[in-house]
Amino acid sequence: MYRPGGLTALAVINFVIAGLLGLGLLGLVIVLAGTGERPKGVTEGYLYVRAFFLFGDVALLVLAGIGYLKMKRGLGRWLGSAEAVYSLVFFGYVLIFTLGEGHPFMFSTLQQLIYPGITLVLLNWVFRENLVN
Amino acid sequence: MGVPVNLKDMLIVTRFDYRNLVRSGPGVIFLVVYLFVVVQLGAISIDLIPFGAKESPMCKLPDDSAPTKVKDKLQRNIPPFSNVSPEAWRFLECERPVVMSVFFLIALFVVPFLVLLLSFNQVAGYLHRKSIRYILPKTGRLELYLGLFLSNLKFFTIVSGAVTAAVTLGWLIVGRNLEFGTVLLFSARIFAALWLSAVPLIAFMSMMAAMVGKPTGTFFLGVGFYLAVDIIGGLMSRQSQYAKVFFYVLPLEAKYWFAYPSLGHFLGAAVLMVCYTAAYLAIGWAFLRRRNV
Repeated sequence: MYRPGGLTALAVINFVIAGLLGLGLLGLVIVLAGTGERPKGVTEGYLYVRAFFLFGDVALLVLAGIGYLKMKRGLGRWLGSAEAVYSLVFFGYVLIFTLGEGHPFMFSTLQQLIYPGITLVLLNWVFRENLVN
Repeated sequence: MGVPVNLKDMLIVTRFDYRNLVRSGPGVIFLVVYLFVVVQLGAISIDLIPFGAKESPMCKLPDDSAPTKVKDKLQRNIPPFSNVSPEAWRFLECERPVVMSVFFLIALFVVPFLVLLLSFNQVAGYLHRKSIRYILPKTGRLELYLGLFLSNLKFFTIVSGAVTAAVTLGWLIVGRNLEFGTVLLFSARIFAALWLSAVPLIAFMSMMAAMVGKPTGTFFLGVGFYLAVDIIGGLMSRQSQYAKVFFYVLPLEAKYWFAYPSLGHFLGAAVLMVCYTAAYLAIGWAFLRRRNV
């Protein structure tokens, strides 16, 4: 079956974002190992939770990207949607933590909702008929 | 002598290609990049509204004060702020919410470039895949050419309209000290300016696609030409006022007329954008009608 260019683009974007998040994870691991400087006002527990979330997100992004390329229903549509929901939960956690620490809400943090939102719409509406293998 | 266009066929092509555009690589990449860039820009402007207040505090300073001089120097040297005249900048800074004005100028600078990411695949995709020969027996070349242009325009209109509406909502929620009517009217002006300055670039990529015939070639040539005119034109215009004419190959300079306070400037820029669009489409059509497909 013919794979639409948009699905390939989505897979590539997934891999790029996974790479960037992977770099962030590496930075966190360095901080947690004690060789890097820890950001002020952040507990060790928060960093562990963040590292755990990031690891899960990177893994899901890569697996979903492979699913898009192979046009799989399970690995592509369902895991891709799960990754988007996971990212939204991650965003909610970071937001609650930030507000709980007394920092003001910034609209620019909403940028993190864009890709999960687009992914959910595209997978379950536009590419629904393509992710069937 | 006019060229007859079958509107029904053209709209069928538009509807068909629009469905493909949403699923295509350029469509998805444009959607992601556009939303990231413009929503981020809008969100930053919303965050700054409580600090930016109704107008810039610089407005109240005398013209010969030190901060005003520094600001003027920055305004003369940093694009996109250097692209508007001091008169237009004063209007945007002192008579409109300054944060919205900054969003407006940066968006005017960035959005037309982002449109190139969307529209390079128009007729070039069909030519490159050779699928055009199966479409042409049922649809005329002109209908196909214009229909593809309109589908790109439709996609851009929907995406940019939705983003501008979302950012406007943010401005209205956060900017309680701003007048409701001013925000709405200025938002409408921003949307109209962004839309009008993007239309000629979609037509420009239609022209490039008809000339080159390959999506990759169209992309690199189109983006390269745009950047070359922008950079070389920018450098040349610093040397000589006459060299600014070079800028007018593309609507790079003219789009900033939308930032002027007078309606005459706005309408003049709108007419100029229509002329650019017509010229690009006509040149592209001259190539496509003779092309062996």
